[in-house]
Amino acid sequence: MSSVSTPTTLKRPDLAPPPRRTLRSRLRNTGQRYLGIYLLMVPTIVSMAVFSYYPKLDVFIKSTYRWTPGRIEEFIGTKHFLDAFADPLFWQSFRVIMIMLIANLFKMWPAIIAAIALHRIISDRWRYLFQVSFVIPMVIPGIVWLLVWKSFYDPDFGLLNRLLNATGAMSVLHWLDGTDGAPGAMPVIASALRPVIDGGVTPIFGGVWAMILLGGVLLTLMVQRRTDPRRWLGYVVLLVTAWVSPMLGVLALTGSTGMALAGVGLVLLLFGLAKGMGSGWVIWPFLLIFGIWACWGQLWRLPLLIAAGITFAELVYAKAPRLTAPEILRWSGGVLAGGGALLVALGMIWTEPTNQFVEGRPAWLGNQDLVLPSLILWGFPWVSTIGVLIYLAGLQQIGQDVYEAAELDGVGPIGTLFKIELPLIMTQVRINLIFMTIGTLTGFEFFLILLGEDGGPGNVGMVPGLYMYKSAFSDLRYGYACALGMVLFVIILLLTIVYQKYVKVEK
Amino acid sequence: MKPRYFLNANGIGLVLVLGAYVVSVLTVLSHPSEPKGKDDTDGRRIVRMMHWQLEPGYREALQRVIDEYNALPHVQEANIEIQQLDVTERVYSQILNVHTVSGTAPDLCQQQSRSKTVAGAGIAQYFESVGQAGEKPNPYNAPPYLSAERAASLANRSWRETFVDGMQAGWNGELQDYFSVPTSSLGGTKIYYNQTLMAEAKALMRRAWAASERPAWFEALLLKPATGETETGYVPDTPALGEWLEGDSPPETLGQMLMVCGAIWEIGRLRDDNLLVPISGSTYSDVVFAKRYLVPFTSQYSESVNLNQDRLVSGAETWTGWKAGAWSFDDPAMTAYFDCISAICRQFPPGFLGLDREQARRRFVSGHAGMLATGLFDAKSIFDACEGVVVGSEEDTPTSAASGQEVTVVEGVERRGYRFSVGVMDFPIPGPGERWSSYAKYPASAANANGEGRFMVYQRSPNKAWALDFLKFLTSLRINEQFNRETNWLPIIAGAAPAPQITAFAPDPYGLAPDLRLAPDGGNALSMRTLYTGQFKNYIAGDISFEEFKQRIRGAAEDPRSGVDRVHFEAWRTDLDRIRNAESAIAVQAALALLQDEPEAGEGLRRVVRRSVLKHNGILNRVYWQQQFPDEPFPSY
Amino acid sequence: MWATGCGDADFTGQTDAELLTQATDELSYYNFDRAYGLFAEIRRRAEETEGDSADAENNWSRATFGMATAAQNRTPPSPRMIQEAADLYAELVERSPASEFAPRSLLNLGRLAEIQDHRQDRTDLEAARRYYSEVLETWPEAAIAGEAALRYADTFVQRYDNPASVREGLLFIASWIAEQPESPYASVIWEYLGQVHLQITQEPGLAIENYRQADAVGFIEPTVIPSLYWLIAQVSAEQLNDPETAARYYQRIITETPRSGRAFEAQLALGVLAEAHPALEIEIPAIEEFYLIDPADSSEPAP
Repeated sequence: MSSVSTPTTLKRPDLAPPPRRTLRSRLRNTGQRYLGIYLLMVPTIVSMAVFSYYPKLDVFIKSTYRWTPGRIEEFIGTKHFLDAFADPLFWQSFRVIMIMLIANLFKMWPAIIAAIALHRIISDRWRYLFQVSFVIPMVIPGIVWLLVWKSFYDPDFGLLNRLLNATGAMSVLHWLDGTDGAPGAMPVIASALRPVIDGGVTPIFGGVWAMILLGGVLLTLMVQRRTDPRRWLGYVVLLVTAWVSPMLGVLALTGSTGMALAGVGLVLLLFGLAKGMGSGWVIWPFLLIFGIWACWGQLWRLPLLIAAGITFAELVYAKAPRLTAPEILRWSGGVLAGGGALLVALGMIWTEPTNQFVEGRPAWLGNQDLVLPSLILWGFPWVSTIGVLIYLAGLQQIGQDVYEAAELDGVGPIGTLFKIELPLIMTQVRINLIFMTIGTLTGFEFFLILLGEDGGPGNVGMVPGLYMYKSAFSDLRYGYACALGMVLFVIILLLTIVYQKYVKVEK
Repeated sequence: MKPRYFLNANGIGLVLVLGAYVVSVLTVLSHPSEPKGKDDTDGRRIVRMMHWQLEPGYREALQRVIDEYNALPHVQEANIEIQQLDVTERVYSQILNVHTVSGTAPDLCQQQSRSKTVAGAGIAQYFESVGQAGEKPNPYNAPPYLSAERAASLANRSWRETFVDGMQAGWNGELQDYFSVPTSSLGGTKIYYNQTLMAEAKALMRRAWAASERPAWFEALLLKPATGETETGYVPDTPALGEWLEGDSPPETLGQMLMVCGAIWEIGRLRDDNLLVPISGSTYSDVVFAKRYLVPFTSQYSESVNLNQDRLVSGAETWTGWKAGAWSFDDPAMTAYFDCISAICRQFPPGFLGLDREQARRRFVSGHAGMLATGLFDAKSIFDACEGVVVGSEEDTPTSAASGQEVTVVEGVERRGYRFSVGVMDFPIPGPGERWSSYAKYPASAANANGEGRFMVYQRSPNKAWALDFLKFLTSLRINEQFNRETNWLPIIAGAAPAPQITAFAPDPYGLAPDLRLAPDGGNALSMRTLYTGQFKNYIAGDISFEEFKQRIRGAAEDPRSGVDRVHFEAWRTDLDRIRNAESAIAVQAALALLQDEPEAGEGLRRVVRRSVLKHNGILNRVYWQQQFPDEPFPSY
Repeated sequence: MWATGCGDADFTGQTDAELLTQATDELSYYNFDRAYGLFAEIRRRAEETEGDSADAENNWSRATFGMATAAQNRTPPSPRMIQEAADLYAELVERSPASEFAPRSLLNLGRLAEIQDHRQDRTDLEAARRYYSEVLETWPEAAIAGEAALRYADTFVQRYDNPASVREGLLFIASWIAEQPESPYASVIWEYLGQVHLQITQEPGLAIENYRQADAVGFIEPTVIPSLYWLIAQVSAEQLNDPETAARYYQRIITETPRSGRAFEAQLALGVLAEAHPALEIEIPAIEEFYLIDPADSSEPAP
């Protein structure tokens, strides 16, 4: 027999409102729950504050002092920063480090490829074996690694020259380089491109670098496509900044007051830029710095070039179909930037024979023209253990279903690399990018050991980190070294923001 | 029911972490700031001596001295034992810094200039002055520790006067006092040469000289009258050249050395050995040659650029002199100097700027170079590697005997692992009539070479007196001679005899004052030093011409913010800092005299007052500026 | 625990004498921070001692002087510590004008006034001159008067762009040393005069005369003797046409300072002089060798 229960109204357990928890009791409850956890963190936080954050804060404070530890401590305001901005060696060191940074961007690829290759190994045992083989080099002390590589570069006894001679690559290099009497292919190409640069590019853009700048402006406007009317305010601020920032630089060099005023002006302009140009604004300060450098001596061109870029972009968006407009900008920006880069690579670097390959014994670390290429070649094939492991961790998080779906869609192995794997490990790429940038910008030991504290012949290997080291420990200008460190810090911070903004997994 | 807070895992973890943290903090805080007694278990008092000389033979030689000292009756009676503590050079400075500050440093510490704790006046905070001890005779220079005959000239001399360098290596100019005691001397840098290759080069030149038609390579080495702007070749074709070629002697002049270099290149060509180079240069040796030859070529300028008339021309004085026109890169002497250095560096292997000292040494000992410029510190390893070991000697260990290395009889002595004999010569200067001879007449003197192996007495050591006593023992004539003969270094005590094979390294007092020359890369030249060094390397590597070099340097020197004006300004500011430091020394000396009821105006105080008052509160740099550039205001930044 | 000079350290159980010894030791080690704390404690105890015992007064003077010295030299210098040092010196001079610490305190007050200790500090030569003058007037016979005279004269010489002021300084110090030829600072004063005449007023004749006076008394700084001998010889030979003096000093470079690195150049210079002045029959001494002539003479065995 079944009985059907009469629906009854459910008895509310207690209609009386729960006693209102006071703030104190809530805090107590929360406190009891979390206090232990927070207290467990105390030693770490205290240690970090004392050993990590305090020294950094102190560096900032000391950058405003003429300082020799324990002996001289004299507040001088912004004088060190003025010195830094007027110091040709410091600027030269940035040129070197920018080249290294760009080279290191390319040098990240082998690690990505290696990680993907490892990830695709089907046998777990083999994958494990390869992973271990990647970790083993980590136990070799850095100094040994450095000395081994240094011996590779020995002109007479080094492996590199022997390898190049044995494989015939030295002849190719000699063919490319030639001698003063008979210039090789590269100097010949450079001299052939000279009329193009002098007769075409320079009169139109003001120079090859300015042409690259314009390409960069178009590409940025393409990425940052905005339709709201506030962009016009942004454009105005951008043009004003382009026009005013060189003047602010001059103002900053007049003294502490000038520097303070310039600083305030720059912050206001950057604020306006951030408001006007939207979330991707952070790329613009870099373009402006690059623009100032590219148009140096003809700074009036900078606002003109930016204005030309803006006008072109707006016209394209106004006249071209909606889907075609970005492509037009992409192609025109790409042609300008890529063409400019090509002109730089072929027409402005290897312009004269180094005369180093004629006897088959190039002095890789002893010639001012070969020092940077040597440093870039350093560590070939550039598969860093840490990098590979980080990428591998990212790749292992990609679900099997994603691969299966790609396979069903007919995506091949190369397509998988560019459409699945690479986009999904962008977080790891960003981490490595940040590490690489910090390492490149602050590193100095490598250069110190190889080239000495003066950065080798013609100071070509003088990087900001080395200049900092030299200022502090050789010239005993500790305060100045701190100021150089602060400038580096700001640049690293801005670059990190750029990476955070542009290098990420697309949802 | 949920477990109570104090019983859960978090609570236990928390207690453990905080407990460990508190214990660590208490341990650190309770660590005594003064060292505890250094007594060994059997009550002996241990006096520790820390050094970083890990070269072969040094520790053994020092141990023999220590053993002899420990066996002295009065040392045994006091139950004292000296022990050595060797630390690798790379971490020495950190260890010294940490232990001096924490109060736990050994009783005797070797001085290393890189250490921050011994920089400037800081040394007085941690190490004992040895100035007063230096005034009294060294008891170990008298009988019964020394024969009456040798003691005669030393027993009554102050300890300081017994040193070859007058203990100057231990002098602290800022504090006007002595703080360390040198135990050896390294003499000057010399040129090692491969005797076999040298003989071969001379034989080749002899044949070329005597040939009816002299080969082109040899002709190129003979000095030709200047047809254009520059001369070519090095040595005039005179009978003197023939005489030298006929003999066995190594090059006596710079021209002869460069001729040997030319012959070695030719030997390389004949042997089809493109690894063979005349001088095993490196990024270190270019500096050695550059500095060495700067003295003969530029000492003539020292009177006009040495503004404060002291014993050295600084980097700042050099550049101020340049601005004032006291010297110029266009002067014939300067052009000759750069030409000479360029000619010498052309004898280095290609890419020498990318080679370090070790690579250069390796090339020389492997027989791929004719010469190598380095100091006494490399002597033992070079001689051992090139000449091998005498069969049956102490160094001929069973391992080397079993290594299968060939035994060669050299001058009647059996040697194992012999490659070639090594000679040592001075840096030659141009001979009469040779290229550059009108600009460089005399070499640089090494007379003021200071001592090395400097030891300091730790101020908080409970055994200061014994530590000092051991230093006296180590620097007594007989012991210092014995010690340095074993280490293959030069003794620091005047009248001691060095080991026969290193006599060539004895400082040569005949020559020009080494610090009275131009110093464009001088310590206080700041960014000018960096730029000069960078462009100089470019020039000697042949990457830029002398014209380009001059142009780049001029551009840097004229920079208003980082050029010559800035260098002079910084020199002035450094002077102000020094004045204030001198003030501390005056205050301390005066206060000590007053507080310890000693007569005021003692010699130490008068010395620091003198130093302070002669600086006139830093106005001298301004006076010099006004005298040199009456129309220009003193720079300000 | 050590006193840092800022915190309160525990000195209980230590007698005043012990503290004073400790403080003096720290001063001798240039540990100004520690010395400051220790002297401050001794001063505090002395001030708390009831009655006017001579010991307490003595300790107070010592502690105040030591504390002021430490404050003056603590690094890096700060306006607060420099002011405190000045106040302590002034207090000491006011309370114990006859104490042995008073002249040095006045001298140090003068130095505080004329040295730019920190960036905000200004040089006050007039004030410095007043302090030095007070030392000279009150303790004219004391050893410290020589130092005060030098400092006093230098306040005039520092006005190098005013020749009259430099002249006044030089006249003062020259007349002072003429009256006090036995001063312990005589050598320094003569050298000072020589240097100012040579480098500032550019009067080589007077400069050499003064340098030679300093030499007659005895140069007190051994490391600069070779340079000074060279300077005297060079200027005598080239500017004053005094080959005898030049030769004498060149010879002394070789014989008295063989390790100076200038002995060989002195030989060359003597050669030139001898050739130019054969009548003087100038001797050229030999340079002393460094080591035993016969290196084969092996180390002697232990006696």
